[in-house]
Amino acid sequence: MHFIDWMLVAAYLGYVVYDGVKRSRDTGEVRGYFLANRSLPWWAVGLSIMATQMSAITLVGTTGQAFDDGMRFIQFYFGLPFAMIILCVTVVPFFHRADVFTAYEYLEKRFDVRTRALTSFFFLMSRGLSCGVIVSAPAVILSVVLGWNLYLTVLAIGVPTILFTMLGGVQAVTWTDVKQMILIFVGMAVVVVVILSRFPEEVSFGDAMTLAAATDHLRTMDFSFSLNETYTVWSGLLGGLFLMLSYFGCDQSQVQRFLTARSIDQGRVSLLMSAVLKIPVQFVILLIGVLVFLFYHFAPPPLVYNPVTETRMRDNVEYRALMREYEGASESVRRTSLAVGKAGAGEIALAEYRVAFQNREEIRDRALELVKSTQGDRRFTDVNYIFPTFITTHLPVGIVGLMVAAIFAAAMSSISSELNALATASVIDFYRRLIRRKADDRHYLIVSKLATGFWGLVACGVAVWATQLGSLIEVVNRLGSFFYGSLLGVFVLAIGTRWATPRSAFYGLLCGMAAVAAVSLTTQISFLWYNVVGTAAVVLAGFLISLAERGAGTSRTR
Amino acid sequence: MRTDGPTRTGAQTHDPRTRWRLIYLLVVGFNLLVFLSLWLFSQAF
Repeated sequence: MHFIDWMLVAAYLGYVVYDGVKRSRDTGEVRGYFLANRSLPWWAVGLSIMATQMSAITLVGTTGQAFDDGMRFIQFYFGLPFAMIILCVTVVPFFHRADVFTAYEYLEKRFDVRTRALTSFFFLMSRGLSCGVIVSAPAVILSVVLGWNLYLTVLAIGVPTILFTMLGGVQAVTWTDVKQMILIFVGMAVVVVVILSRFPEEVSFGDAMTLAAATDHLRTMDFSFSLNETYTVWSGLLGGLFLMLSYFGCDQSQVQRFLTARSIDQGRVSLLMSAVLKIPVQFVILLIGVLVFLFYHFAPPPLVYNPVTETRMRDNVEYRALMREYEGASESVRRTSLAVGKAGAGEIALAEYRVAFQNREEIRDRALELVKSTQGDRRFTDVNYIFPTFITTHLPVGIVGLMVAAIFAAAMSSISSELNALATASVIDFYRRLIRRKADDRHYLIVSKLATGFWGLVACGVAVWATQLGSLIEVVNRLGSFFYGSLLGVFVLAIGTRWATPRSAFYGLLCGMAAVAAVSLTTQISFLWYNVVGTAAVVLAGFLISLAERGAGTSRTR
Repeated sequence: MRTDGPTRTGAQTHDPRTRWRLIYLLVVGFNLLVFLSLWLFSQAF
């Protein structure tokens, strides 16, 4: 990276900490620290909600996914707008009127302290671990692509985030989220313009899209009804709906965002902002992946996008032979792609392009297989390295710094909200409720700041650990999906029914998690459906337990 | 004709419930348009 890019990244990190410290003046009490005294405008809360959802992996991973597999991933978000509307009608007014700090606090008002503690505990466990993964995933990628020390990269992401979140509380989190989201939007727009300007003059946008369509990269909708297929219209609409209901309505890292809004109406509008913007924004992110894919039709692509692996593999004779073969195949792709854009070119030119492209892909597949067998890592994939490698090797000085800062911003905006939420749940649901009930506000404020710092250190520790245990990431994601649907089920019992009893909610939650675990172990269905299974299992178990309790109560009164 | 007070239609749109229903309907309509655009985009090339 050029000196100017380094300076841009350093200036960004410095500014984020400075801005967070500046915000700490407004947080002299726990309510201000965790809820900003319910004073934030809808647009700031709305941008914070979007920034929290968009982690670095969203930015880096989904562009790579679009490069590799096309735009099918967009279907994952199809349920989001409908989930937001349901949440606007249900949980937003409920939580605001209940005047709670955490979503789980509401469960005590409706059921009992046991259900509150259990749900909050599961939230702390799953979010505490996933926060570490959110730090580790971009740290690994940036350290590999930029040649930085891995531990330093973890610290470069973690320390500024811990500092401003600890000092400034939710105000710092929200206002830095706003700036980070603007930085990400600007970065995305600049990348689109730069890539389009780098296409050969004779290739129009329409020609480029024709090439992408010819390799099935523009397919945005899959109407097939397969439970094993992860991204279809149906899994996105129904499975995605349940996932988004659970994430935005029951996960404290998102609930806390709209609890800081000035009023119920402002909280609602902040959620509707995502309902309107999320799919178009995700479309642009995926389009960037497709544009990078097209860019490498006209510029020589690396055989493997992980630069460390690529350098290591160059010692391998077989790999070097594949590299030579790949160069020739890439030249064929370039030539046939240019032919598609020429006037009068028709199906024959497209067919030739498809053959050349297929040939190039087969060579890359063979190279990836070779890497897997040489490294003894059957799970090796370079998808997450495609976009960062493109940024550092093909963007001009200044833009590289901007985009690396945008990746940092995406990571930090998610982590800060999660640290803030983890501290809130720890202090409000456990410390203030179960450990020390009567202390002054100042005491709880100090404990809240210490809790934020503690969870920050846990996240960095888990991040370092996760970098050494690749499969842990999958375990953490799986753990989260076991919990999410079941958590939603408990809130359905709490808000949607009158008959649910405290015992039915508590044991219903455990039944739901057991049902999801059983389904995940015995079937191949996509994880998006786990949320539907979890919710249904909790509601059904809750109903049966309530019925049994009522029956027992009736027989006793007789 | 009265111009200094809310008309019948005006009174209806000032009802918060009606206003929110209208907003939700607009959000749903917008997203249906987004879905249609996505489908047309994938068919256009």
